[in-house]
Amino acid sequence: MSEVALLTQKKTPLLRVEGLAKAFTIRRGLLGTRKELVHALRGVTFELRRGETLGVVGESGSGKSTLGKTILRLVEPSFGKIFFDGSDVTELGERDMRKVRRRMQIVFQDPYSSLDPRMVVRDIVAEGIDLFRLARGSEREERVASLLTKVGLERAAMERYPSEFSGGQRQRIAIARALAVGPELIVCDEPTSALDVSVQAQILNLLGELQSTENTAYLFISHDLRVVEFVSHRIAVLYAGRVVEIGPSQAVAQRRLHPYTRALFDASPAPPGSAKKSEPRRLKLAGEPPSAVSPPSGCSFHPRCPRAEPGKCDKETPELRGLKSDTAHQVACFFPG
Amino acid sequence: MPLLHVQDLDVSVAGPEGRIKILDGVGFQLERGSVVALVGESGSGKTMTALALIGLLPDGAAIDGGRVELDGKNLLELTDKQMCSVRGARIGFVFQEPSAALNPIHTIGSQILEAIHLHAAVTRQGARVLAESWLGKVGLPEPARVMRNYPHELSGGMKQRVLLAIALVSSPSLLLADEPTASLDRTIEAEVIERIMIERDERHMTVLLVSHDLARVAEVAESLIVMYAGQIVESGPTSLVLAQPAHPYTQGLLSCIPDPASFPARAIGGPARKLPVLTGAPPDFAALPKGCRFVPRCPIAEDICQDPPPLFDVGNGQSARCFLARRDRETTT
Repeated sequence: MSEVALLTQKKTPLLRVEGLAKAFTIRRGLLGTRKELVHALRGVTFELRRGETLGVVGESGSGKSTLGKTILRLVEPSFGKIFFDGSDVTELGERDMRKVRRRMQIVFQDPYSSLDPRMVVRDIVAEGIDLFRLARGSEREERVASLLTKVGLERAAMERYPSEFSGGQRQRIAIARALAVGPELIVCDEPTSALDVSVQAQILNLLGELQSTENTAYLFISHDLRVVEFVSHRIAVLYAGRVVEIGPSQAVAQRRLHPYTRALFDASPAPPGSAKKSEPRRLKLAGEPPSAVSPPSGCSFHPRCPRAEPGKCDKETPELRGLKSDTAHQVACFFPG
Repeated sequence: MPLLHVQDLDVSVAGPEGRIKILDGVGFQLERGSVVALVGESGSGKTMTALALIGLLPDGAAIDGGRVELDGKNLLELTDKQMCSVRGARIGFVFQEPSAALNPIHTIGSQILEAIHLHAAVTRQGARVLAESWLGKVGLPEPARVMRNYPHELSGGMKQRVLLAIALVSSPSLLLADEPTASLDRTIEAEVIERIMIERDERHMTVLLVSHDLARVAEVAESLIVMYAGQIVESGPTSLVLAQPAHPYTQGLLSCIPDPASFPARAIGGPARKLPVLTGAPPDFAALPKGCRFVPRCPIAEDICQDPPPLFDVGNGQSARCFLARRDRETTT
């Protein structure tokens, strides 16, 4: 490969999401005759590089799970583009999309419901191998065995059913299944939220090791800010379907420019043993997360925001802008800081 | 006299080959107005302990021995009817699964009003005012509207706050909260914890928080009780347990909580961050180790650990079920 080609290849992000929007129609009312639009995602734009982890945080209803599913087109986007390795996957037909699917996988929160209880682990892990006809017979067997070893399970696990495993082991099985097709991107949707903290540590370490050896990129979705800060190179904060702040993990965690980011960090418990946060600065939020059916006008956060200025924040929608001092750190707020 | 004094509580469940002991000699005291957290991972027995205290063990589980004294009176000797009036009136409780705890066919209003009328002589109007004020206090917007709602019309977080309102409405002396914030977003969670603390401060309510989230409860609890495999393995003032955990299990548990600040910045392609881990898994209750139950996972176990350790006083109000912790503390003091 020529040097120029190598350079351009490196510059193309693995994933580029542009103006992604998703609206669902839900039926309301006694007979389900009243239809309403739910705006789960509204103009989400970001990039993800090879081998990078982008953490996505937000409260329930912020759109973070929809984002992960939309990127894999498990949910069809309403608007916007999703470039995977330079090509727009929203325009791909079923056949071409299948090829791309091999390169992106997902691991869900609940290891109890994401594995078919009637299948033995061998067939669960080999699902992708069979689907894409990657190996058969003894080669398939060997691949499954090596995947299980990779995720820290014994070869003998192959013969057993998901119900015979603990939550952490099931999550390892789910990770082995995702790895089977050699993906370049794994969407991790709350992968450790159902696990105990000691098991969480094992799974986080495993994901970290796999990233080092396979150069996999992760879109790591979680409500747990400390976990996200721990695993991610960059963090995106989602509020009411919009990215309100995005940037390098440390910058976001330390600057907390958007008042919502600040509230989220302030509400998260500090790790025991670490220096206690200064209490007086604690920013508390009033009210409930916004309705996705009728999001507030202007900045969606303004009804809960202590900094909101009437006439400005309730009228105009702030755009995501990079800081002058650090363009990689972007925030959507008229009064950041 | 402490408000609650639990002594040598043993609980067992029916197993395929006879009864299996799942709580072994659990004992602790709650002083009036204190906030204590009972922490442990799944299967450690923390929830079973909480359920045993209020006589709500699941089918098949039974208390085999011990005492649960509330104000000096052993609750285990009460009839079901007497226990029923203790629950709610003296001990309020909130459990993790908010959907299961509310009756789907009654409005929120009728359920909170029922709780009020059960434990206090108030007029209908008075009860309504009280109910709405409590729904407001737990942070629910538009209490009057919530009163008319059915459980399915509320989010998980709102239901959890309704249950907290129901638990607090009768001004209990003790609040038992098992993962009261597990289904809540962090911002709402902080609000709920704050409400519980206000109740404690204003009228000296005692709080027992049951949780797997050590980081969260450590912020509010004055003391910690750590459970492992059906036993208390460590207890003591929160600051001491966090700063100098005595039991290797507590040490392991604390070290695997991610603390991003203690790691250098991450570069793409750079080394992954690695957390210290507790290897293995908790033992099966049907096949417990003969000695210390933590031995199979313990990084420092010695021969002596093949005997079952008692809970040793290791100084400064800290206790640990570990021979080696006792030896260490003795040599250092």
